[in-house]
Amino acid sequence: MLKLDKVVVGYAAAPVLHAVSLEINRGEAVALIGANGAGKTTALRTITGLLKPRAGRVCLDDQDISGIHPPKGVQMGIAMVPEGRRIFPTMTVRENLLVGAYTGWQKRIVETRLRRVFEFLPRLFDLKDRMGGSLSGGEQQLLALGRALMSEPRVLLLDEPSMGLAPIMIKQIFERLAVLKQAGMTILMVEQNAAMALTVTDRGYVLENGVIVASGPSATLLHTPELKKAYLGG
Amino acid sequence: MKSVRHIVVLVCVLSLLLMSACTSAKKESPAPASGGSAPAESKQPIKIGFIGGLTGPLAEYTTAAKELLEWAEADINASGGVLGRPIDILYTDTKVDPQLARDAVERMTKSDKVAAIIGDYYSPSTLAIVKLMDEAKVPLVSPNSNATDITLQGAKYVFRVVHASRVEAEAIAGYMLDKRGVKRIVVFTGSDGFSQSNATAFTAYVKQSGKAELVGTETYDRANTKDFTNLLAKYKDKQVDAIFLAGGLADGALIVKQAGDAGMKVSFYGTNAQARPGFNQIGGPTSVGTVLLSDYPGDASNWEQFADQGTKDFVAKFKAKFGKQPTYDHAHAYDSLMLVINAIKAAGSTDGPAVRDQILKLSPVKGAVGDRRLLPNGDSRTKIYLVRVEDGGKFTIIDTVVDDGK
Amino acid sequence: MALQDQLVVGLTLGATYALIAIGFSLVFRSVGLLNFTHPEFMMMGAMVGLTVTSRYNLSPIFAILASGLASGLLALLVERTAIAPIMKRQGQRINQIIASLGWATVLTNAAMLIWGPQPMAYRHTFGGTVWKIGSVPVAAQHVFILSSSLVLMVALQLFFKYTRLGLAMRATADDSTMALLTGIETRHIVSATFFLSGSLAGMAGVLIGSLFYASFDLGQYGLRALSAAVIGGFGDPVGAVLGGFVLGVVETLSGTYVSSAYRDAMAFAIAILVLLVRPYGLVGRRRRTV
Repeated sequence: MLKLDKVVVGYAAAPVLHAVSLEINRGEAVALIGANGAGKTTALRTITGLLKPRAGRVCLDDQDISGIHPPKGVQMGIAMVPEGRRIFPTMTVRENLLVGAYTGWQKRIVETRLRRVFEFLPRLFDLKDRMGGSLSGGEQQLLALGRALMSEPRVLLLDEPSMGLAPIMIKQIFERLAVLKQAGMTILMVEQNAAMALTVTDRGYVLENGVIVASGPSATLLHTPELKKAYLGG
Repeated sequence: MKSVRHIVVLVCVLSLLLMSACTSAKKESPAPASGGSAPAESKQPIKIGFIGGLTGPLAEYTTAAKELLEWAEADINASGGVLGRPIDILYTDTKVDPQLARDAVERMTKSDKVAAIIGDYYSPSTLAIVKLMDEAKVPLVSPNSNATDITLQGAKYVFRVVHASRVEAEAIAGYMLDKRGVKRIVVFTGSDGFSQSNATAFTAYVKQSGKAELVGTETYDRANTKDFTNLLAKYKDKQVDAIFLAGGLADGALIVKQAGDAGMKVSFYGTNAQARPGFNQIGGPTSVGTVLLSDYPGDASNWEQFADQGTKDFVAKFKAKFGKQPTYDHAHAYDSLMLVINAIKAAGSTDGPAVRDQILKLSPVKGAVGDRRLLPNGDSRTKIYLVRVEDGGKFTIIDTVVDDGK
Repeated sequence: MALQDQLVVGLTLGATYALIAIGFSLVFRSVGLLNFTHPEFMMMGAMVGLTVTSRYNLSPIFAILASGLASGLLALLVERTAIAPIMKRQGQRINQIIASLGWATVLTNAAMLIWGPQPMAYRHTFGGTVWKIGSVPVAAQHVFILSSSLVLMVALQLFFKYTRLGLAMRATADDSTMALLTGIETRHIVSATFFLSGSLAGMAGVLIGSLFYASFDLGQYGLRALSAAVIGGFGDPVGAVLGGFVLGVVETLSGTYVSSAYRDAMAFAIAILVLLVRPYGLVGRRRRTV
């Protein structure tokens, strides 16, 4: 469903992604792991259209969406849970969620979606009138996820969802992601916490200095000796 | 879409350039004489420079002057010009920038070789060019600059057809103390040069006379202050008879308006700076009754009662041509030009020192403003009228200050 | 004049400063731009209001709406011609500031050409009527200005809280890249923000013009409202309102208790003092730079 085809991104003299190809099929959960600076976030930004590839294509359902105007991407069903959460600090939880539904703005629809997100992430309902800036890291992550879900996406992109979270929060987030996957959501997850990522995904890609160095079923990658040493902590 | 935007920007830039070009010096080369078959056509024209803020806050005054000068130029050239030569007035917009004035004077005296310059309208600019005129030995007649210092520089080539602000301040002070018996005065003044020179002269006169008490002086920034209510509040219960407005028109009008709004019972006095319709327009009903000064009677409804014959003749001629009453600026521009023209005629040449000497010899002059005496330092003396602000932006003359020769 | 009388005047002036400061603050939050054309939107509003009330004899409320529209459109024009093109080509911020200064000069000169250089007062609609609230005499004109300002500020708050556009503007101001990623057309939002900021300034211009007079150089007087935005804390409209009122009151009171010549420097002195104690302004907080 979502495909990167030999995508080159970055400066001409120093590209960040070198002819990267990866594919996420409908209903799959795929992990993109690698060290800091490997180019993982760049890959996600290219998918959302914030970056335009110098060569290669980004395709959604075989439609070329390379360098798409990001709001258009949202309309087509791509939603992003960004690195650092980036919730809107001066707006309440409820308002943050409403913004997520910006593209599909009709009062009844929006209210329905809001209810569903509150059901899926009940903690958000308790926090609904709290200012975004006053939430803890874990609460913000839930909010960022909820906000993305408000646009009823077909593809969910997550950039380092576990970053800076307490283990109990990480567990909660990933548990919710698993439920989403079960319900048929297509997920692409960028993670430094490779072990965690590979446990909840079907397949994985390993990115090193802008090049895919390994790929395959998550279970396999999880037990690959070289990777174990480099990314999975021996 | 992009090209449309480019065109829009280009058009805007071009029109701005065009606008500024239109208001700066034109006629760098001699123009043929206008009007009928004048014998002056065959000779080189006599160039006279005009400098003043044609754009900017003084534009209203200089526009009137220009209107007058263009008419005078055409009229003079149609009757044979001066010394058989047509005159050609060159206009430069000096805004309110002394540097622009200096540049204009340099150019006009060195390349255009003008016989004389009329201007500037902004005292700091006039002050900046005083020395240049003496160096170039070209006479200058200012229609509007009343900074006292201008004629205290010892310059030989600088003249003006308005009074020094010190003279005005003393005139109004004298009127207030002797004719109105004012006893307790507050002075409201700006922090700028013009206001300060008014305030200083006024205060010195009052203190020296001992006839009234200065209850206080309030200084404010003319450009930035629009609310005077708390300054006025200080005097509400102090039994003040009069407020003297040493500043400008807009600030003076607001002071009067806000004093009225605060219910203060006080009379207002000012200088020539407030003697325009805008004062009543902004000052509202409270401004009616304010007493101001003017050396030109023509702006008042009862001018014919008081005007000299020279003024009456000028008004008749102007009305015949324009169908409206000439204003203060028309009259002062006319008198400035005529000093220059008549001096050139008397000198028989455009030689600077000769013309300069003849300007002084012309005194006394029957001018458009009134009967005028020229002092050796370049100052003018005419009658000063006390004018009362009336409803609808009008004025009536209520008294005259007799020239005591100082 | 008792303290409460001066307070009324200070609050009235402060309300006008607040309206100007809100718009300035909004643009800064959304685009990160110090828009130096802003005081001229206020000036233009005053001039349009003059024509509406004096030439066409329409009510002041109509003048406020007309000026709001006119200045809003002007702001939009400035954004489309000077700000957006530079932003699109990833030009430097300083170029936008210079462009905004250029526009300020254009507007000042245009006003002078259209309305002439002389200051002109509005028709005295309130005729100096004075009411009494308790023992405090309050000019009807001051009441009108204060209440209009408050109505506008409340309307603005409602707009931000309950409309889709208002929500989108807040999100864009908080984090414009993230707003883009949630589907908001930030280019349109930026334009709408400029329109709104110019509109508010224009309406403030009518209020100021009606209080004093309209003149092509009114923008210089409006410059002090920018320091109100700084005092309140850049980026929060609430801060701008607070800053405006603080400025108006302190400025008025200081005229009596401090030498009148220094009163006008007070605006900037206060701004500096506040920033020394609270570097982000009274209610501002550290913001992420997007």
